[in-house]
Amino acid sequence: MHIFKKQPLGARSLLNISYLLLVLLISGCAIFTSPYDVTRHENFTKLKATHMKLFDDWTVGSAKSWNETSVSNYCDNSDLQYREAFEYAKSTDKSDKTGERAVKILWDTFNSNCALLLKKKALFSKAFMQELKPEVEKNYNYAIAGEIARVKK
Amino acid sequence: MTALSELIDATGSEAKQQLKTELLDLIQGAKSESADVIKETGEKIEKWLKMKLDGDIDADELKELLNNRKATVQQFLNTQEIITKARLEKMSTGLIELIVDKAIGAIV
Repeated sequence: MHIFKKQPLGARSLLNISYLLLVLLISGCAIFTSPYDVTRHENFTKLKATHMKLFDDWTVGSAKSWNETSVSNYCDNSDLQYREAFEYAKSTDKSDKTGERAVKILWDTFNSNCALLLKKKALFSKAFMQELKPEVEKNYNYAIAGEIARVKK
Repeated sequence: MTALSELIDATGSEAKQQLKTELLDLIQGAKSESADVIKETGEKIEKWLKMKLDGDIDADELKELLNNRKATVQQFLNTQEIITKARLEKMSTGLIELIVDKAIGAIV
């Protein structure tokens, strides 16, 4: 009748884990994260391309010469893409906000790079870009790796 | 009743071993990757400070590189959080499947 009495350690551990998960779920702790989302993944790759184009177009050695209006327009138009991706992530990421946080980090980075370019009113130098570009690429790669690591449902 | 007790016992031992292996793997992976990011950050900051001293980049560019590094580390931590939670979820699902399979095995 008393099947849970005098259970060996293995069974007790399993029950303890189950209780812990139950308590965490009831208390509202986000122990799980949002599942994989193909559009969120796609948004990361599109934003990466947008950011890399900014670097490729506006660095010394590119075909372009300094044009403040063009840079400003590109930054403004791209800002909308980040805003859209952020709102999408927010709407699909009810569990723990890791999705919207990932987009926000990239969005802030893009705006900061644009602000520096517009402040200097000159193309990025090659030496600076050799350091900045791999850094920003890595940031996107982490964001993409995070999305891929999510549970696929 | 005896069959059910044995079932809980067997599932518990197997699940415990599975959990132990998964958790150790998770902790080791996170530890190693975090150490790499910390090491890389130190090396990059040293390089950028030297570039500033040599006049290869100016103060604004140095500040931008440092802020971008900070953002990359924030992204790394966010990704680690996702990886950990996703693996915990997979572990829980694995445990549930194990229990259900054992139960079905005992009935059939």
